[in-house]
Order: sequence, then C-alpha cells, then structure tokens
Amino acid sequence: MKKTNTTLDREPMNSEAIRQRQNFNYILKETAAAKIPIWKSIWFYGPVGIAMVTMVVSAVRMNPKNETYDNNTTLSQIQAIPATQVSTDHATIESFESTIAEVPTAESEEIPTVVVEKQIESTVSTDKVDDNTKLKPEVLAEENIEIEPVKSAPVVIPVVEKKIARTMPNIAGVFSGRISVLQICSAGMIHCNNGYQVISYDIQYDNGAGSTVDRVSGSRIPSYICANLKRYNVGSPVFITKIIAMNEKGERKQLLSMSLEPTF
Amino acid sequence: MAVNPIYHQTKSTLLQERDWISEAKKDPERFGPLYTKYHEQIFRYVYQRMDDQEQAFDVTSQVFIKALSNLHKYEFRGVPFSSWLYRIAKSELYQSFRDRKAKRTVNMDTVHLINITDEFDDDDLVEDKDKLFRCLAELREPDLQLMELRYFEKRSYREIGEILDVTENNAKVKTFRALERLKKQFLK
Repeated sequence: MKKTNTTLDREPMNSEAIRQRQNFNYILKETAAAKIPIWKSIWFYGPVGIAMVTMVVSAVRMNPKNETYDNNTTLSQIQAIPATQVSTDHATIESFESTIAEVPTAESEEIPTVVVEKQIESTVSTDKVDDNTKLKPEVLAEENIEIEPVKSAPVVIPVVEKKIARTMPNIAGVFSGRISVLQICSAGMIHCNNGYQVISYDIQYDNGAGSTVDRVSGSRIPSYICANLKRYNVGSPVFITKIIAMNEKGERKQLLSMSLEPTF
Repeated sequence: MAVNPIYHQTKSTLLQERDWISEAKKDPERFGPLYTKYHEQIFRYVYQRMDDQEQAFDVTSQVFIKALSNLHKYEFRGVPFSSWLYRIAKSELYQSFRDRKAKRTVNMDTVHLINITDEFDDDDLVEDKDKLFRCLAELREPDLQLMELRYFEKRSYREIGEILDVTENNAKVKTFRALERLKKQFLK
C-alpha cells in the first residue's frame, strides 16, 4: 500500500494570498480559550490537596477535644464528663457483657444524664465508694458507653445524693483496677450497694498451676483464694464474674463483673 | 545548490527576536511580530506536506496557538525561533494526519527532481524523471523528509539540523545517506 500521496508541479501559492489569511486575533482568542485555569490543573490539586489533608490531620491531632472516644459519644458529651469530675485512678467500670456508666464520687452530687445500655436505674449511697472512684473518658470509650447529650451546659453539683445507673459490687470500695492484696483479704468479701448482698460469684485467678475459675457461694473471699492471690496473682489480673446478688425482698440480679489487679 | 535565505539571520535580528519573545511571555499580544514574520514560512512548510489548502491554514493556526500557549517553556539558544515553530508544525501535521486518517502528501516540482538528479553525478540517469518520481514516493518517511527539506525547500544543513534537532554534520550525513538510498532504488 502506498504510504504517501504524490503531486507533481502543483500551482504555487501567492505570498499575498497567504498574508491575507493571517489572523492574529484568532490566535490570541484561541490561546486564551485553551488556557486551563490554574485551579483546574493537576499542579494545583496536588500540592493544595496535600496541604489541605495535612492541615485537617494536624488540626485533629492538635485539638484533644476532637478525639473520638466512641461511636456513640459526641464531643459535647465527652466535655460534659469532666464536669461530673469523673476519673479513674482506682475504680473504673468494666464489664464483659458491655456497659456501665458511672461511679459515684466522694461528694454526692446530681448527675444530670447518664444513660447506659441495659440500664437499671437505682440510687447508690456514696459512702462505700472510694474518693478515687471516678471515670476516665477513655474507660467510657472502651466500654462502649452510650451517653445521652447533656442538655444544660455546665453541670451544677449541689445535691447530696448521686444517682447511679447500676448496683455496683466492690471490694474495699474498689470496683476495678489496682487494689492491694491486703485490702482484698482484710475486706474479705464483696460488698454491694442498693441493699443487695452477693450470694455467689465466679473468680478467675492463678493458683500456681495456671489460671483457674472457682465458683464461690456467698460474698466472702475464701482464705485459700486469698493465699493464692498473695502468692501468685500480684501484678496479674483477677476477674470476678457472674456475681449474683439478692436484696431483702428476695430479688436476684446479676451484677457487673469486676476486674482487679492485685498489688502488694 | 542555492539555499533558502529566509532562515539565516544576523545576530542583531536574533537578539531582536529574543526581545520579542521575552515581551510576548509577559503579554501574549506582543507575539504579533513573530506571528507576522513566520506565518508564511510555517504555512508553506505545512502546505508542502498536505493536499488541502484550508486544512493547511488550520494546521498553521494550530501551530501558533500551541507556540503561544507554550511560550513560557521556550528557551532562547541562539537559533531562530522558527526552528521551534517547525518542530511544533511537524508534530501538528502528523497529528492532523492521524485525526483525519489522511495520507501525507509529497509535492514535487520538475525543478526539484532536476536538483536531485544533479546530485547523482550521472548524466544517463537524468532522463527517467517518472521513475525518480516513483522512487521518491517510496522512500521511508525520514529519508523523504530530508529530501524535502534539502532539495525541495532548499534549506541549509544547519537549518535542517535545527529543525530535526540534530547537529549540522549529522543532518549532512543523513541527507547524503538518504540520497544514496534513493539512487540505489532508482538504479534497481
């Protein structure tokens, strides 16, 4: 197949005819039309996009208030928590089943709204709970706590009594976290609020041969368990689960599980 | 063989061209003198390789639009601005062939054929112009281009080198080899 067309002795074009076809305005117009605006070019989107992402990421990282604690916990809710002076050095709420909301502080106070999954409304007298029994926001996040938004802005704390979402088991006022073995053994039993008394529980601990689970009747901590705790469980967690409690009316309920970390 | 004198410029005209370019980089409307100066040259280069006159004018306009759009990339290297325009023209020309699925055209004059046969240094070969015409049409594209630039458009080797982005010597060697191939084809 022929690659080219060939023409012999074509009539040459006059220079004047070519000059008449010059149209510089058309060139200018077309050039302006063909020009891509800077904000449409890839060179704009690359650096600007990266800068925007960097700014957003740094803004999020530099502002601690923007931390996401939980899918269900909004910023305003998290900000409301310090107002109730919730923190946890010693006592946090922890549950294998899921959720709890709050532990009383030393001063009885009205907590406006703290709603928890599987909510059981009750009032707890705060005398049995340690001063340090406070919640950290992180703990709330871990526990997947769903908190209703606080409608009034700052929390006022004038009230004597504090409403607690659930009946709380504790040993020497400690529900969860670090507790000395001596405290466990001197208390010798699992206490409970709201007029409930523990009637049985499972305790998972290390008996020297490995992790074991004992079912205990009553609220007392048997002396052999106490001895094992002293010997083998300092620094390793002890779980108290399936805590069944009963009140004076004979109503039974399963309480939240406890996670303790025995120390010297 | 006499060469086309348009391409060759004095140092002062080259410097003036450089000034026009730097002004046009700031204000596109200052590109006017360059357009006026080179429009005919570029059109003739394009039309030499095309059948359709209107199409040739369109491609020429496209060359200047491309040149003006990309003027900020142009660097003055002491050679006429037209060498850059010719490279754009070549690219636009082939783009046009692809777009229209058209074939490239080789426009020859009898005078051009005589110029080539003069180079053969053999009087017996001069007679068969039709055969030479056919052989030229069958040349490979790079060889045909060199023949066009040198013998049809009467360009100097320096200009050919600048248009094809090769050295003057390389242009000379390539043209000589192309001529040899044409001669070989012609003698078959």
